[in-house]
Amino acid sequence: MKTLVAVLLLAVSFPAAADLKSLKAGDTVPAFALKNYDGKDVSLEGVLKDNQYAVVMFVATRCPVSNAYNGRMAGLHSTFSGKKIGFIAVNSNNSEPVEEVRDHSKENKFGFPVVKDPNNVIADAWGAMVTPEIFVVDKSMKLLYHGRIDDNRKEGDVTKKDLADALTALLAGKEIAKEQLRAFGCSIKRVEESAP
Amino acid sequence: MPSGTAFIPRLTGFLAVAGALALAGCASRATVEPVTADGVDSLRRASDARVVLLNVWASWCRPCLDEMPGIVRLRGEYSRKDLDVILLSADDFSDLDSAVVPFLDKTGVNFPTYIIHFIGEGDQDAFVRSLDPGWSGALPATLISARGPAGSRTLVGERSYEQLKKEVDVLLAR
Repeated sequence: MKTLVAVLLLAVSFPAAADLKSLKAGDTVPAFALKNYDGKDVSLEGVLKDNQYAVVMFVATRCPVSNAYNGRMAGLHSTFSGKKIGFIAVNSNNSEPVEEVRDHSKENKFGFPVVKDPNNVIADAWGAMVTPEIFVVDKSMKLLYHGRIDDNRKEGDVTKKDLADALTALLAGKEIAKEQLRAFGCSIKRVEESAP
Repeated sequence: MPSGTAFIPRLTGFLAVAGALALAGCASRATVEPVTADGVDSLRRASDARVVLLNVWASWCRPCLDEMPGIVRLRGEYSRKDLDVILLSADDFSDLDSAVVPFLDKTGVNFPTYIIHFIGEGDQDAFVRSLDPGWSGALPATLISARGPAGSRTLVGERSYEQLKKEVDVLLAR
């Protein structure tokens, strides 16, 4: 059953690691419809209507780790978007306004939408805590992959391309690892944290 | 049980930093010791303090830098019997001399600190899990734990001095 998250404001301020439910492989993800930085509507269901899988990437404009992956995210989109895999980036950082998201997306020549998540509602619903953080879902909105892009923020030192390997395996009809692999990144700046 | 090889030998970069500091007569300046994931666990277990505050930070993480003065202040206000503070840098080891040590010195950190040193593929994931299975790896992360049944708590994101003090005081009061 698909769940449309309209408003989900958690009462907790400054969430502890265990305060937010983190989605696991096999869970049904909450749907969302948000505005792209150019004002156009983008929905997860819409992307899945045209694709077999969707890659949802929680990103930032100011996080050095997320920015270290800008080129790799653009590369993954170039490689896989023509193969029935859609991409949506979500910016949930309350400290990063939509104008900044727009400029950042243009500067980095992102070919995918970067939607703004006001009040980090979607980040809370998905249990996203860090940037970059990746979720891959299938047409039935089932979560197949949750975790990192690869094993090193320095591209030259990468030894394991976890996301690319997972997408390649999915396209080949193979099983992918269900365990979430973690890496250091920037915490998502939630609305409570930015309050004076 | 952590192995005896948990703490790796000081590496060349660390020796260079320590040596330079010794020559300069700056005994009170920060030292940064490389430590493995097992070593972090050993550090926490070895502490005699009633409450241990482990802060994982990185020089590239702005909120980490912003909250550091509050952590240093907090450490200065408690006895080592009550509170032990362990600062653990998640920076790449290659950034030790250029970013980690200069920031700690600038912030007035005059006690031993640590930098995570990964050995082998997959260690970053294993390290995050070993500290708290519920932690995503987002920085800054502050793990506050108390001896006995008082419990522990993992705080993700920047915290003020007041917020951290409140957390510590709650555990000390139990």
